Amino acid sequence: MKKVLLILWVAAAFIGAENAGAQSAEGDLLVGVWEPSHGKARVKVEKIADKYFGKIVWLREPNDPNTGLPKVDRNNPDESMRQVPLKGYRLLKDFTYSGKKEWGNGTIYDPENGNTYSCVIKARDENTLDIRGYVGVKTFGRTDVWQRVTIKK
Amino acid sequence: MLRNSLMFVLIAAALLGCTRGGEQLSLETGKVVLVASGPLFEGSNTATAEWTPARESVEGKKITSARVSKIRLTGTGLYADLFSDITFSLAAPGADMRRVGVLNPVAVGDSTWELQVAEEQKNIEDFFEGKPITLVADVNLNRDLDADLNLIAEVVFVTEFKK
Repeated sequence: MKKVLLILWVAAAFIGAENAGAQSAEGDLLVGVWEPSHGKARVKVEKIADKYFGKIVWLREPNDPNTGLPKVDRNNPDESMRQVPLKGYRLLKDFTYSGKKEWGNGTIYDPENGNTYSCVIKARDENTLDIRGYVGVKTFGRTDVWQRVTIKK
Repeated sequence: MLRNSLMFVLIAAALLGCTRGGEQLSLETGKVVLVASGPLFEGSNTATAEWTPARESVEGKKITSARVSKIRLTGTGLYADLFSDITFSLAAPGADMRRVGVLNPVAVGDSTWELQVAEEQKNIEDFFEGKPITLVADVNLNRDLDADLNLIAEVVFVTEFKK
């Protein structure tokens, strides 16, 4: 009886670990370089401390036309952080994988107005994401479609 | 008259009770090596390392508030003209990532950099819930680097705690 219980316990632990691994691998679908529909930037998503973050790695117009210098986060509500460059700016933050190709609990920052919105990400397929930013409830928001820059085959 | 005085004393005591924080504790990371695995390409790259406060310094204490007061990064002489800017953040499984420092532009020729610390630092105490803190340095590179990037970070936190 003891042996049977032990076997069952080991099997359950093994299945649990397998599921966690599969969940993690599925969640990592988000990792990569993505381009929003406006095409003005490219965002690289990476995993840090078991969460997903996206930073700007390419800008169509990297320099501020007024100053000729690289664009910075001039709309940041915290004045002390207005020198943070937009190239490398982490605008998707703290996403966790919720299953069914959806990532939640994160935020998206709009450098054009300095606002941060709640955000959910849903993968339509391996190369297409629906990024929905909202305030309060998901109903009141806007969805943008992002495409993977390097197409997975 | 006595009633008014008593009321005044009570209000003053209540106000004092509200404003009085816990005891202060300075926590220093010491030298932590942040690594970005190379080869690295020009542009944005990220170096990270995990740090956990020494158990004896936080054991039995509930950190009620925290701020980053100092961030210093050190590289080798090879990095003297490598960075155009550096941004520093904290991440942890149980907390939202916080950007706490920036240096832009980075002066050419230096190999030690003191970052400007963010004025607004919300919920930094959330990072002291017992899980490792990931120190994150985002650097924009002026050129490719055919090796790992190693940066030594020294961060000082000023915290308040209750026993």
